[in-house]
Amino acid sequence: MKQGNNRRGITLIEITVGVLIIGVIFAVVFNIFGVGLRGSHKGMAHLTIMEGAAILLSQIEYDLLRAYALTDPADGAADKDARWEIFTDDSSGKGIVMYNLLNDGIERTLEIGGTANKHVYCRGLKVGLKFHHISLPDPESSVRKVGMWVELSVATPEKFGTAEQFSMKRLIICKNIQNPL
Amino acid sequence: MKSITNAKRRAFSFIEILFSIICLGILLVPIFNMFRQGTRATTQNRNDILAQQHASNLMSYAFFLPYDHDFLKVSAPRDTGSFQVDFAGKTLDLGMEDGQFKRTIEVSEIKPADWKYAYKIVTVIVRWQESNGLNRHVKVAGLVAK
Repeated sequence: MKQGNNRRGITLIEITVGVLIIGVIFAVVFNIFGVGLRGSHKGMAHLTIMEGAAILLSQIEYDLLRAYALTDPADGAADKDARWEIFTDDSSGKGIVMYNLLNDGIERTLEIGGTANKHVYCRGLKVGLKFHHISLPDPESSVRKVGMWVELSVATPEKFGTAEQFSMKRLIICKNIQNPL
Repeated sequence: MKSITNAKRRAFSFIEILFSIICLGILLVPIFNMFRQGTRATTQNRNDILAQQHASNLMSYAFFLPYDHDFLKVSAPRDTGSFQVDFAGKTLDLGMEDGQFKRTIEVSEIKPADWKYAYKIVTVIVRWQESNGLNRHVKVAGLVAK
């Protein structure tokens, strides 16, 4: 009986070894989880900027398809801001659209009949945008086809020394503009 | 004597520990797979958007050109992975920076004798391979009229 009583409990060494083993297993598991979570956060950040870039580029494309005059940038020039005259769906039928690059997004202003409607795209993100006004003569139809080469990059704010970035380049034809040669 | 027998069974055996670790591992596998699938889906979305962009750029360029331009000559699918274009003195790079994409353009003509206009069908296909070996493509087609 005495022998049995002596072996009843757990010794400090056994507890220490047990805690150490659990600690090692937890460290490995949490490390793998950490890598997975970082990958997940990175993926979410990338999805956010991709979605932001796609929405902004769709809006720019829609505006350029309705444009009948490209005021800024001028033909052959490139600029980060833009100003175009476009056809609209309302009774006045015409309006002015402007894009202005901000520190954390890009502001689109639509002016119709003296009233300005503003909206900020990619809010909180770093946006890089460049519009190249291009044109190409078409000798067959005696008109100059006009378009815009848009370079867009959207990035997340830097966090823990890393930032996600997504870039797109798009050639868009302004079908409502056909300047004579 | 009973207490001595109990003392012999006080600890986990190596087999028991091994079994529990294997069970833990099996339980963790789906969780890690979930993370991996999320990353893969993000990459696939990114590739979809970029492929669509590469195809649209080439199609827009085709619409920019006169009907009889060399670029729109009737041809079987030809590679257009990298090339630069000149717009009245301004050179733009319409190539694809990502090496994983392959882009082809095919032009065919429809010109029946009794039709007033001639048409060219421009088909752009962008192909790429995902990290899991899956072959994917985006196909965009359009009409150019004379």
